[in-house]
Amino acid sequence: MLLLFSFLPERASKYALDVDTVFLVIFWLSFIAFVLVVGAMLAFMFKYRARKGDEEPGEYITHNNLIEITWTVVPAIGIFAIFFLSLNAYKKIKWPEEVALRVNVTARQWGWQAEYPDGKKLITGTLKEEKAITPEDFQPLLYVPAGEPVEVILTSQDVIHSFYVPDFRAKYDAVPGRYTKLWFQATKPGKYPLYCAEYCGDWHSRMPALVVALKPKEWERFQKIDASTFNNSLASMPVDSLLAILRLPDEEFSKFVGEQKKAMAALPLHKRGEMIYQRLCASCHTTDGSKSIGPTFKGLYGKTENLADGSTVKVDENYLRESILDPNAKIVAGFQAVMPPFQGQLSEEEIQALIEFIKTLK
Amino acid sequence: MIEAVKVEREGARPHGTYLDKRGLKSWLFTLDHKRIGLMYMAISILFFLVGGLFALIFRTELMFPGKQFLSPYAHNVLFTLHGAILIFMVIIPFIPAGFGNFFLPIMIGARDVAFPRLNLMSVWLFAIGGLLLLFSLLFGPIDTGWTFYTPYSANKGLNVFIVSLSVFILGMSSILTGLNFIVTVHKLRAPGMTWGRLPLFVWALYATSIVQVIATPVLGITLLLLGLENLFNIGFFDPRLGGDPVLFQHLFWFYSHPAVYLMILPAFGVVSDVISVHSRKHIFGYWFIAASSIAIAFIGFIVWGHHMFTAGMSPTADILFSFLTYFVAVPTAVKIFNWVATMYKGKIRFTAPMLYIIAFLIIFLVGGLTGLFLASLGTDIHLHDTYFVVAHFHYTMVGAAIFAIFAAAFHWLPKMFGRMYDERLAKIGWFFNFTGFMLTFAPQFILGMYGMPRRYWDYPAEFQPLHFVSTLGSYMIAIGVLLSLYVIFKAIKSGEKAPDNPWGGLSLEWQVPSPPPTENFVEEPVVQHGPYDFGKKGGH
Repeated sequence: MLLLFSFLPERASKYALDVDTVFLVIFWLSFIAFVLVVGAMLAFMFKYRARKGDEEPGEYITHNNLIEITWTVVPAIGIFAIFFLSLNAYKKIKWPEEVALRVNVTARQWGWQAEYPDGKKLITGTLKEEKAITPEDFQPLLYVPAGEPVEVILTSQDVIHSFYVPDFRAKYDAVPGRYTKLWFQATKPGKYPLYCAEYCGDWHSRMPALVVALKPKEWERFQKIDASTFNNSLASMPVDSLLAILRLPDEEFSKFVGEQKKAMAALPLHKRGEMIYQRLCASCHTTDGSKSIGPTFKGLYGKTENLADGSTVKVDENYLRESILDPNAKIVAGFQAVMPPFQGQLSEEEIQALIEFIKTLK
Repeated sequence: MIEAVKVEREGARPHGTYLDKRGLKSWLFTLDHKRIGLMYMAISILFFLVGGLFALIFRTELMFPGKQFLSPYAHNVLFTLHGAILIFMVIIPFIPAGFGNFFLPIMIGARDVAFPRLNLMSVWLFAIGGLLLLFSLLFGPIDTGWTFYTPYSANKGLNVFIVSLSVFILGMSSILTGLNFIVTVHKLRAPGMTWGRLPLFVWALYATSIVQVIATPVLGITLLLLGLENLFNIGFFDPRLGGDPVLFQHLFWFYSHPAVYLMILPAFGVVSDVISVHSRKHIFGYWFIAASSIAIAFIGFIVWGHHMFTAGMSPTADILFSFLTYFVAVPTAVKIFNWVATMYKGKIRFTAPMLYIIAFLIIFLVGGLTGLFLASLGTDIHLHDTYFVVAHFHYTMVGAAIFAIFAAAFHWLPKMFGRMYDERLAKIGWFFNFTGFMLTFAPQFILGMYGMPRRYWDYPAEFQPLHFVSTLGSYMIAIGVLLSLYVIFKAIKSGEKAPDNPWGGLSLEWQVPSPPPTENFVEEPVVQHGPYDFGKKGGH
């Protein structure tokens, strides 16, 4: 029994125990059934093996209705018992008691994006190197309070993905064009790997992310950080660095947040643009001239682009602004119209910063 | 038409055999169900080798984490083609269209199937479908998975269109065969061949045919819609064009779940016949087994939603589909009990076909029992789309269906070609297949329990040891399969002459010469006993 538990991942959500209980009940019932059937078979194989030279057929037994009805009804009862037991676990997985936090998660090829009600935003990217995935490659997507029910509202920008946290026994598909939901309640603080479980193309296995469950105190701190500071300087930080900040003594923490705000304001415009680029654009646009899902930013400003409809356009501030806010208005030849519009998601200042950054890439 | 068969006996082998005619034309335009069955099998074996080779390549890539030698796209193409080829070109057609075509008419005492020309057309369509599948590779091999989930597959273009067309044509072939078998069983049974005297293999084929005729058109329509969407950008399934991606899943599984039974029901038929003959014992509970085949065929139609518990169905639908899925487990369990009971007080001979059936029972039992974890709503949410599912369906599809194909091959080889195979080598091949299978797929259950998602080109290092074992197992299967094929082809070419009835079987195919004459029966057969009357007093 303990051995079997060790084959299941850590149990870190409220309903994980319900799921594992069903798992174990089915396992042991199946195990008994397996031993009985295979045991009988092996016994018959030994006892009724044909001896050399024995040409006689076996005994003439055709059927026995009583036995057959019994072994139809008994498994049927066992099986329906399992059904009702698992229904109980399903109810717990499906319907949360009350929800403390709702987060929107959008999947894309290939990565995740989380948006909090207060505007905090986390984005994870694609790991395209040839080396094997290591624990460090799991980038934080969600910071959630441990011990509180969290609801995730899922959708996808392109194809179907699936949000899967094995330690929570939680999984649901992210379907384009509609919202789906799942909830979980992390039972202890920790870092829990998040995988994509629905095949979504080349880098399906390379969109690793993390759900980080915070202690109450850390969660309180997390909420105190305002969205723009978080988005601009903390969101892309490694988990451990952010956790270290959340664990600072009170005074140092407020000081740190204040400094971040100031530093941000003091930063040159193009530097701020670069941070926005890293956060929002880097998964599809390169800065080194190589082709990705979208055109490269290197040498983009001032260049004349050929568009898909055959016309050309000179890349200036207005074209860049339009392409950020309404990317499908003018599609560059050789690229798909797959970029999401950022209308309403970036402040005027942020757009300027981004354009300023693009200008520096000669 | 039966009257026409009345021919006088002239010596031991008066009419020659169905293999006598030579030349390519005599095969391509034959109306003989036996030759058509062999052509199906020949095509399937070729594709089996290709599909299996693809699996070996990507299993080698998966031996270690990180990139070895395949790009993610190449890996995705290989698992897609592995699945599509083995399902549509091998597992679905092999037993019904191959062995079924060969033996169904003989088993019911008929000269041929009801519509021999339609039968020839089926095998042609099958070959054309297979060629088209290969032809699609020229337009960029598809990487959609054999499930073609939209919208991933909705914007691919010509290659997806050609593959859908190919599967559409394969489906037509499958429908025509099903139709042919249903009519044949109803209309062409020999005098005395009552429904209660049909071999269970025939019952299983009959149930399979019902599924083929009813379910396959839905797949055809679905893939046609997908093809049109790819070609003309019509928004059936792509939300950007106003379509619904989950609708595709409903339509796809409405066929593809019953298709699971298309693959396994004929295998059940093989098990029933082989286990009875090699245990020298009447099958236990004939009517329970026959009825459970029909029950599975019908219940199989209303459980498709269990593939979609995390896809966005309403909870009501989830609960209903889970409940119905458990229903299917009951007749399946009944069959297993009846097979084991058949061995009770038998005289069991451990021939190669019997060993394959024993392996089948063990593997299929595991496959069936692990299905309970996936039918259960609570546990499926964790296990769905992980290696647990991969292991589960390989236990049912490979472990059961492919093992039944091997059992059938060794059981009926002496009849089909009049030659015996090398029993010792066949058993060594069995050992490699069985051990290799367990090594390949048992670790995948554990991977899935840990939470390793399927269709992954790379994985965290902690999963590596189990992947390593799994790949070693797949190499063992490769040895086993090649050895078994060698045994089979060597027997066909230069095996010892087989007697007409080497196993002492009672069904009609064992009462005709080996290999059978073109007309199957020298005289019109009159059936006086059941196919399993071993040890009956005053009879056999």
